[in-house]
Amino acid sequence: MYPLQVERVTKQYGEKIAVNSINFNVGAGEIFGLLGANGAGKTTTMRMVLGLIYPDQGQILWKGQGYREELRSIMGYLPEERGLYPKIKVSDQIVYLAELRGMNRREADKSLKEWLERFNVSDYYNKRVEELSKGNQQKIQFIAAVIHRPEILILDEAFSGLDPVNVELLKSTVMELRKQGTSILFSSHRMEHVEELCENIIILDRSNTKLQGRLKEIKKQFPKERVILETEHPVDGLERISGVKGVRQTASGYDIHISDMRAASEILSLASAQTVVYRFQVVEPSLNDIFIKTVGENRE
Amino acid sequence: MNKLGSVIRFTFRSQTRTKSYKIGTVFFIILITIGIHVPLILQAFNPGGEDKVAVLPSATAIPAALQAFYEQQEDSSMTIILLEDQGSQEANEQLAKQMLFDGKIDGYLIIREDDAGLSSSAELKAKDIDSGVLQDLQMALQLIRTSLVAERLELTGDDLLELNRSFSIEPTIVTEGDEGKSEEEIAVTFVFVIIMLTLLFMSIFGGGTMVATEVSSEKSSRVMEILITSVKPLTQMFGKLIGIFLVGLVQMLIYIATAAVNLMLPHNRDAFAYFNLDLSGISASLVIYFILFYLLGYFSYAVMFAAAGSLVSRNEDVGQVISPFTVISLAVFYVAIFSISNTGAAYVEILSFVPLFSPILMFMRIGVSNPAIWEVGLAIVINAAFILLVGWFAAKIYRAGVLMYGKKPALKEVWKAMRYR
Repeated sequence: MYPLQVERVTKQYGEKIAVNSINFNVGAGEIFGLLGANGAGKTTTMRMVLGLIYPDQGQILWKGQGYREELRSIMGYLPEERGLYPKIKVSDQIVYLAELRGMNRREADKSLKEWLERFNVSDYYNKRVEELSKGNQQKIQFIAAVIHRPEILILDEAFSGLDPVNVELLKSTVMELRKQGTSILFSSHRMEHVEELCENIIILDRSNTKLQGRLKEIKKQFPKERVILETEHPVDGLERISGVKGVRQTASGYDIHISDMRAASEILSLASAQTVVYRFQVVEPSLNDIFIKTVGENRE
Repeated sequence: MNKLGSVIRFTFRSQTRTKSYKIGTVFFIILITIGIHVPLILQAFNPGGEDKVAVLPSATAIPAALQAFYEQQEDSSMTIILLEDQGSQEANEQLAKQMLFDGKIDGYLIIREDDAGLSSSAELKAKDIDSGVLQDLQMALQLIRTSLVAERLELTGDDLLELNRSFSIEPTIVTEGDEGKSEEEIAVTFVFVIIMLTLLFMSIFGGGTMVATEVSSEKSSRVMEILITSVKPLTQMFGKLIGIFLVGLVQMLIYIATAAVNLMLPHNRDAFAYFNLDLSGISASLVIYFILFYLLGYFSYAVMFAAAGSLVSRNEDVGQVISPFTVISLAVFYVAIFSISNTGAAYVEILSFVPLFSPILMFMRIGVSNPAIWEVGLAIVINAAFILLVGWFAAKIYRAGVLMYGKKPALKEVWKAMRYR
């Protein structure tokens, strides 16, 4: 049994279908990637998972059952639009939010101090939120989402507004939560984060599921269409090889777009015949490429 | 409910910690203190406080009698100075004027004689006329004249007393099956209704605006998205209302305590004694009704304000959405003020069952007349139902409000959003 099961869920707002028969499961200790262009239905899906709105068709099961009050204390939510009381001290509001999630005050306070320490921001305990930088507010918001050790966690653009150091810090935290068995629904526009964290993904486009499954399997379905080539001297005649669709010169060499794997070996032989090859790699498509291909296709 | 407690606690703490709350409270404490000391301050600017009035010579016995009258009174601030006759009326007045401008006297009195060797009028001349002094003199002269006339008619002291006895009418309002309400009871109720109106208005405008602002700022800061996923909107809403109610209550108690401490200071005790309101006229049931209807009143308005506040997501828009309720509360205020002496009127009886009007008008009826117990019960039920209904409705809008950001939504959109469960 999955901690979170979304079964053929459809949601309509009046005439407009926001989410059309979406179907996925999130296992314990799994980070599930919920992807989609703007307006694809991600927010509606997350709101249904949070129990804020109810599906018109299909059902959502949390630990095998329908929505119930108890869920409020086992779910955590990091909204895309950050929301904290600007004029209230960090300690006061995080303890309050934790209390609403069913923790007692002392427990919440202790846990908050541990989190602040972990994020190297212990001295913010007594600061008002409006005094903090955007990135640090983000850390506090993150703490608010996870302080009560939720079993189901919904992260919407968890790393936006953070510098690379802090992105790594939060990323490692998310991975640790996974290790502890948390089921995480992860939504982001940063494909490299998704690629790094998620095993399974779903890509929505205009209310419909466009692509779904294990990330590795999905990648296999997409042909390898890129060759990276780095050589000592320039190589002539790359464009003339059949199967080469385009050649882009980069700072260190070439980024070649091919339509056929056979072209790859021809590129290598041509290059090695002319000069010394430093690097030759047939690259599998990135999630970014896949996303653009999937969602961008019917955009014209 | 644990969460309800948390919401109340958080609301109370965060509201009482704001600068505006602290400054506002201190400001009012100072204002109340100054207000209570106004008489004392005025006295300080009016040193001596003694009024010296000269009386020009007259053929009547009045000047001497007047002087004797004030000398007999121990704590009178009035001193009568008899002027020596300067030979003519003009010379007498000349002298009095001189004394007035030298600051030796505050004014002078010219007694006008009539044919009977008595007097029934006089002229008071001064740089400024103090109405207190004028009344004081008038009363004294009236008494003196009466006793002079009595003497002339050879009346005894008892005759005089009998002549002066005043006639009094004691009003009592009669209600069916009860012994009615005495004037004192009605007076006390009147004071209570006025206090209730004032308290309600302070709570409605202070608390109500606070509720609406708080709700809309939770929307604008988007804390709400987290809140509604962690706690039921109804719990959240009533927790907030109770928290803000307590904020107002504490503030009110601070003011009352300030006033009490000030009034108990030795130099203010006389003033306190002056307001000798007979508190024995208050029955226990009236106090209970007061608390009950005050709570019903506060929450009736607070839920409306909360609903209004959850319609908008910007603080600038709050004023606009709460204005209809401000108008309603003004209407209630005027109806209450104009009908307090006429609680039997049909429109008062009807309005005392209408939510928003009911808390004040039903309380007024209980205090002044004697509505049947079922009427009181019905009003309480109606009010409680109204609060729950509007509270539920407000919570619904509050929840739906997450889906609506940006501009102020049209009613149709609110309705639509509420139906999306």
